[in-house]
Amino acid sequence: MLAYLVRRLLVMIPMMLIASFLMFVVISFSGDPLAGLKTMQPPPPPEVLHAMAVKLRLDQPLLDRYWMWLSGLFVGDFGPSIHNIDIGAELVKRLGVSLRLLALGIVLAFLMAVAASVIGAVLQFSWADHIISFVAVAMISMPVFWLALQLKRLAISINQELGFRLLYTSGDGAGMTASTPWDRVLLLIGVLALPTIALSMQAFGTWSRYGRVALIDALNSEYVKLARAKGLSETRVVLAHGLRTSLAPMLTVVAAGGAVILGESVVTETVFQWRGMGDLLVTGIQNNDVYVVLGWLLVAGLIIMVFNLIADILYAVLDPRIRYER
Amino acid sequence: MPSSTPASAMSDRAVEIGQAPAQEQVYRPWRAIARKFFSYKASVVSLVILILIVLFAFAGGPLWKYSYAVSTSDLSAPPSWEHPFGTDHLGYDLMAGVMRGTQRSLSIAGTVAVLATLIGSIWGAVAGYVGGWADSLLMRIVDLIMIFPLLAVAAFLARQSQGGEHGWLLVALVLATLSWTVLARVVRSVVLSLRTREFVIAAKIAGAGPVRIIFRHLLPNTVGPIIVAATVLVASAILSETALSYLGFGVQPPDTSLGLLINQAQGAISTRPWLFYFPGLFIILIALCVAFIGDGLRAALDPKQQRK
Amino acid sequence: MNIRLHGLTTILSALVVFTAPTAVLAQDNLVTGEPITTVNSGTPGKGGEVTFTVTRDITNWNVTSALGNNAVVRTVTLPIVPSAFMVQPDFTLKMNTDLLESAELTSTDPQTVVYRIREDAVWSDGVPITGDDFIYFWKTQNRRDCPECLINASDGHDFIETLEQDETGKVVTATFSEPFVGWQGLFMFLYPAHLAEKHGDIAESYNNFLSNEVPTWSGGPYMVESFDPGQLVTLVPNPKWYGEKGPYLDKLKFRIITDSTQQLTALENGEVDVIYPQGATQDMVEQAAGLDYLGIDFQMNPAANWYFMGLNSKAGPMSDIALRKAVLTAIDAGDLKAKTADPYLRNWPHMGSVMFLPNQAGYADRRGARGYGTGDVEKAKGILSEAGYKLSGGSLLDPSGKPVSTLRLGFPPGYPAANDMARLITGYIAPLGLKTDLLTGPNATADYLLSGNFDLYLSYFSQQVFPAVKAGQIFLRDAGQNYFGFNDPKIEEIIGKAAAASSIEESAAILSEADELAMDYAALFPIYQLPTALIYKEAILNLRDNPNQLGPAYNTAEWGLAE
Repeated sequence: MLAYLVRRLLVMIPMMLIASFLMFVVISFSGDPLAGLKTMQPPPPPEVLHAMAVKLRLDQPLLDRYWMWLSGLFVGDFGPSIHNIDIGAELVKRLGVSLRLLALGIVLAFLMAVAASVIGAVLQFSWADHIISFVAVAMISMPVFWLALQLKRLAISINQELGFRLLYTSGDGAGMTASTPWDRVLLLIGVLALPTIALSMQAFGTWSRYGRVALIDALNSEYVKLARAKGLSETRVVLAHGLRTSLAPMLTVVAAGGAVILGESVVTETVFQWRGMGDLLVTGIQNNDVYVVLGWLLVAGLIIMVFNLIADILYAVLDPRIRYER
Repeated sequence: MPSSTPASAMSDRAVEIGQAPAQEQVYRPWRAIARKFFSYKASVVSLVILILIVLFAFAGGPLWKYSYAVSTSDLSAPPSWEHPFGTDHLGYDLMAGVMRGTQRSLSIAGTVAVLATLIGSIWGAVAGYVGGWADSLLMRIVDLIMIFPLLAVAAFLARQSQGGEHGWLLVALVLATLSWTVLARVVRSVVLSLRTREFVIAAKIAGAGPVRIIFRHLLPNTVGPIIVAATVLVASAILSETALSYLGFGVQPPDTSLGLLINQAQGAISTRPWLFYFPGLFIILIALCVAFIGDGLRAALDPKQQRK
Repeated sequence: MNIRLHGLTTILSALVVFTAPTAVLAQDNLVTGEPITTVNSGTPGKGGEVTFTVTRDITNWNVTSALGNNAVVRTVTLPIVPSAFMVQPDFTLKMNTDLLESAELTSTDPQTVVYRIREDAVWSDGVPITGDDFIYFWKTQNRRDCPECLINASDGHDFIETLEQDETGKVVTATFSEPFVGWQGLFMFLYPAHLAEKHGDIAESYNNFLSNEVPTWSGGPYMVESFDPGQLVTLVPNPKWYGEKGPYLDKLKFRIITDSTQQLTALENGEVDVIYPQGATQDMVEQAAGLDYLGIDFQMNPAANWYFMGLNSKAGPMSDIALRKAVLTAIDAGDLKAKTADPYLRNWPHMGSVMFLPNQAGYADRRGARGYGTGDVEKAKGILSEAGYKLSGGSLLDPSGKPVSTLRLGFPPGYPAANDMARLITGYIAPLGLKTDLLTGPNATADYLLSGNFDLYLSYFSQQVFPAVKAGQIFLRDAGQNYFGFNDPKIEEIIGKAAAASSIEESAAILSEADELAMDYAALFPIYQLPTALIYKEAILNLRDNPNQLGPAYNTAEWGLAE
């Protein structure tokens, strides 16, 4: 297992190289970074445009530019951005914001998904199963901005009932005064509540669908039949045996989803005005800001690969039938 | 019904000898599967509704009096007999728009679901069964694709193409290429736990090659997650297209899709709600129907599944 | 229980609105009917906080630099930066009486302007505002003294030949190398020269200190207390404020919310007090009207930005003037406005000129005078057949017999109105046998427009207080925004003369001729002005829509809450 782990970690380096080079090429041919400047009213003088081009290294050939970026990484230089930001510092900040936003949501979604899977598998095709499936699929097919809007409407009504602003509809709490610890807790709840619900509902939808089916398969497997034959209680069979073997596929989806949300939660971040990784990616792509996107790729790519690695290790831990050596 | 594979013949023999029969998939004639499927009410109802939606989308266009590309003089009209889904602020009939949009969205979702399911399941099964360095290579490629943000690829391609009649196909291909990865991982994880099972070993002893083992023994046992993936993909394909057109990379006007329609109606949710809820309703209906059909299909195909 | 009921009622009420016929747009909280320069006036009490919403993050604090020249930076820095003249809501320029005692044109040959800075005008660290600051600013902008300064546009500062101050530093004399009618638009943002020179040479201080560092200085009523990147800018009163009125508020905050739909819900939830969304849509206006019960008012006005459609007179099928004229004639501007503007914009003016706004001297409906925008398809067909075009089987054939290729109509993303207009225009010109493909997306402008390989383009221009200056940016042969191939030396000559006129009225009279010539060119079709929407809590006094580049933050010294 240790050898496996080391091999997987080592292979991440060439993978990041390949991914970053491909992404570099893709973004470089996706548009002109200076387009925004060139379409100002009026456009800046040619000297200014030229100075910006030099700053963004656009006067250098492609391979040189990639090499400059790569070598810059070793000294902590993530490259120049059109908007004059320190990409490295920005990444750290945004990662923190995204993680804060996601952590609670992922945990919540996972718990709900497990509960829903159990109900769905044990009571398959019952009314409870149908309703849960209905809700789960609705969550997957519902656009986030609609869900967010309804949540915000609800929040505004709640605030009006309570007489003070408990729930916030946007922002991460910047500039709000919270003197006492209790105030701080309230502020945290107020700012996190809506985004967490929105995110976890989305994730719950997908995960519970996979979990249900995985648990159904597990409950029909001979491994579980054996447990039943041994005379164990149904609860114990379902929870200790069925759930455990069904966790492998479910973990896959969680691992994949958790990392994907990091990048693709753009709409959620826009709707709740959290300046996270998704927002960074979108602005980077829209502005053809190649070094911003590469910075994002480094962070998100590593996270995705690590998540997948953790999931793979957990399979072997959870399911004794799985072995990686031949 | 006689089973015709040597492996199953073997399992019969195993029963004779008195051992616990090796669990494995036996191919049953389609009639039995169909009968099983039609006993699941939710799935049947969903199938009917889905067929109606498909008819509505593809056959409704020419039959309906308004075209989605022609604006009438009824601006922002709420639903009425004249315009059952209402009109938008330019007088375009929404029902015509929804028909056309459903066409596009179904095409995209269908393409994505079929392609991604095919690629993902085969890829994952091969990787899980073969193991070793081939498995590593295949899964590292999966990792690589997972890292690539959909947005960047879509932006790049949007620049190269520039909309037009077949813009939706490009969107569908992009989405398919980037979404088969999760299924590949799921299938692989299931196959990993299956490949040490007796029926697989029995099949190998009986001389079955890897292709046969994968397609006749392993994949059928992963039919559960595969169907779920396909159904989830349908819904998420529509929503990914929505996210893409939100940022300007998806289906372009004057062509329309359900995603584009709900994006355009984003600000109107409380003022002219019909513009949002009708396309949204179709999205949810399609996703729900596909999901319940999938549930029924999976249960019908699974021999271990007890009839309820 | 109540909470669930409320949630349920919101969903149910959506269904009710769904089925009930739409009520006539009641806009009781639309503030209108008074002169635009004195709307919402009052004497506020002292104290309180106001949170104003802006739509972009601030990554560059230098409002005249290339990267910092956007509406948000302007809004946030107007309360801290002194200006010589400021654009008023009625689109006139008024001298800033807080900063200047007088600013006079003392001679026309050579053009000389004398500024007298008020004695009390000081920066927040006590250093007086003097000619040093004028000179520093002029050097950064005039493209001679600081070629490395990353400015956006010289705006006429390069016409100043010499800039001198007297011993007191309070009298500044500007001598021009050539007459420039737009002199009142100069020195609209001044920086503290004494602080700049501590941070390197001119280029360095301009490109780094003033651009990258959050200003700790101020020459206005407020100063920056803190900046939460991406979220919030907090201003507090400048204790050394020298102006006549204010500041009244304890804190003036600028909250960054990038999406206008979210701005509305934030306003409804009381998280912000004012929003000024870019490009007000019908739904936004309706929702604002519905917020009456929360004590929220709104003001709407035609902005200094105007929609246009441009035709590529340099390449492609549009290079034939007959086809251009036919297309412009076939467009039904009345129907266009009726469908895209009138449903929610009251008494909205058409735009009939490509150089003047309807409220600027020199304006006349030159568009209608030429029959453009009438939707007269028969007349358009006549123009085409006269030029040798033929309509065959629903397609248009050019004089040589080849079918006219499918036109492409591009427009930038993010403007629903442009999308609507594009769709409608496609319909208007279809009877001429023309097929049109719509083109949009983030690269629409860069790839499509800037490459020169395009047919039609729909977007908006930002008008300037001095029409001659704006005309110079569009209609001169090598102008930065001359996308459509204007190539008439007569137009250039007239614009040059108009820019050198001695008064705005004279300039307008001269420029009118250029407007006529430009309209004859038939390469630019003006449509109408974009709407602004200022939505705010009614308790905030002196908060007023300023529908030009400066925006509502032009008079933050007077903002305050009603007693």
